Amino acid sequence: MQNNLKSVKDLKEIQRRLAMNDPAALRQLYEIFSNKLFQFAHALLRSRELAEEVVEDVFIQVWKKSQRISGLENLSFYLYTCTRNFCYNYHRKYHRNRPLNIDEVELPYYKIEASAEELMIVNDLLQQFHAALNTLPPKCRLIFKLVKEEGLKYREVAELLGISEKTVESQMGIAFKRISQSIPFRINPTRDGSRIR
Amino acid sequence: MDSERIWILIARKKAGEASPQELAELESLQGNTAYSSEIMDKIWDSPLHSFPEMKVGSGHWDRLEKRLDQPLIKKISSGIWWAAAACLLGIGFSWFVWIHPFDEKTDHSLTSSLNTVTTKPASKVKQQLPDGTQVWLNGNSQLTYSTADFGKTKREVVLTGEAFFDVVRNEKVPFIIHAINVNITVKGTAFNVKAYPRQKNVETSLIRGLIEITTKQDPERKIIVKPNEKIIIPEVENEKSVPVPDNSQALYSIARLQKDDHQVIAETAWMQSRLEFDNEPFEQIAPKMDSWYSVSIHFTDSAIAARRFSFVIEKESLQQTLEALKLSSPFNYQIKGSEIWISKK
Repeated sequence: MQNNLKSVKDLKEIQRRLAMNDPAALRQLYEIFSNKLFQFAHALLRSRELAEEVVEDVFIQVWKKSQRISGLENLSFYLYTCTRNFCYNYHRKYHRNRPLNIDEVELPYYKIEASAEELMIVNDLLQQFHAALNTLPPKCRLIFKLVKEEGLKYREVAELLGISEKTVESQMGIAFKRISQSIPFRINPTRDGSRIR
Repeated sequence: MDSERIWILIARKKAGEASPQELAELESLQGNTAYSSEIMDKIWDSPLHSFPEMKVGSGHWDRLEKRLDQPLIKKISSGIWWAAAACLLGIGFSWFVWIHPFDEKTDHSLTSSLNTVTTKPASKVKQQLPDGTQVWLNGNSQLTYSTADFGKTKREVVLTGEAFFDVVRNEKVPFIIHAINVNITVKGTAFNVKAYPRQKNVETSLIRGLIEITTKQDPERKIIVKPNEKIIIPEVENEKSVPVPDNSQALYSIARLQKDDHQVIAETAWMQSRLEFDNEPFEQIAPKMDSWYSVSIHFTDSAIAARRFSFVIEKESLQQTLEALKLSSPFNYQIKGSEIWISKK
């Protein structure tokens, strides 16, 4: 499920080395997370420059608090939370009157790595899938990305975005429905041949 | 209802959130409509890529690494040190010093070997600074900088008037612009500064990059300008005027830059060699003429503001342009300094 996330064991090892102030461990963590956190910060702040600053801040924080971090169960969630907090700080600082709105996050266009051949579908269908994915409302797409790609739990995503777990659940349902319907499922020959709407 | 429920359950299952009860519920809901979720499984297991590819910039780690060695002063390397220290506005004292470079209080490096570029009204000059930074200087403007150590330890210029800067990135040596009552400090970025002494405001329009401005009377408050934003800082004429109260709100305002149908931003229109208008309402033409001629045009009649014109400005003076417009559609105009008032005939 957590496709390109390093295994929990690897992260634990990095946490242990961080606690001993090993700069190579920080670099390793940076390699794994910098772009992910950057994308998340960019979605919230809509600014390359600010998002880069936020990611710097997050890693500086990790470095300064490496002792505390060594005991964390879920480093990934911690890093996202940190990123969220720094984003909120920046936003508060520069846009006093405008609350950060999760409904207005800005996301790039997403594509999956697998080719049409690998999925055993024709190219048109893959394009339909991409269209379905990318026309999801931004909030929905962000939730889908965080659950699918970062392996965050519903509870964690809810906390991260300041929404209810119910919202995460229903948005994930919407994402699955829209995406699935863009690619007609292969229906096994069943008694009545009905298909899921 | 059930058709929504089933998707929620499928999603929970894939996300590893489903309880045994929910899995059972899903089974029963799917019932006889068994379908292959093979494709969805593959999709779920295939990483997502973003287009355009979203990655931190190339020097990012180096910048971060530098900060690691520094004492724990928040953001010392990236945010604040280069951030603009604009001493602001409202109380324009420091500008007085800066635009009189021979004043004794002036930073010595600026007086040592000064190079000054001056433009006449309605002429424009493009200048490359020793560090490679490009500056387009609009009419009736002056740019002064020290040639001795420019780019080595300091990159500072003094501007009166209007200029567009495309600053070469150099993390180590911040680029500082002293413009009347505002100081702007940047790393590498492109933006327009309009700081004519007689006008009421200093306007800074950011095209790309990031600049941060602070004000002298409230150095804690940092104003960040993001791409496609314009910050307008009022100039206070009398430096001895009453100190601005602590909770003063309207020290500055931020506006978004608008592109017109031809992708032209009014604030930087003056950099082009000609201005073209194709059946545009006067009120949309006016900001570009403002920028072109360094004036501000006001309408006293909304019907005139809505009139449409098509014309081209190249070398024409403001009067010539206004006279030509009058011929095609009559109105009156009055020029008071840099303020132009347009009224009904």
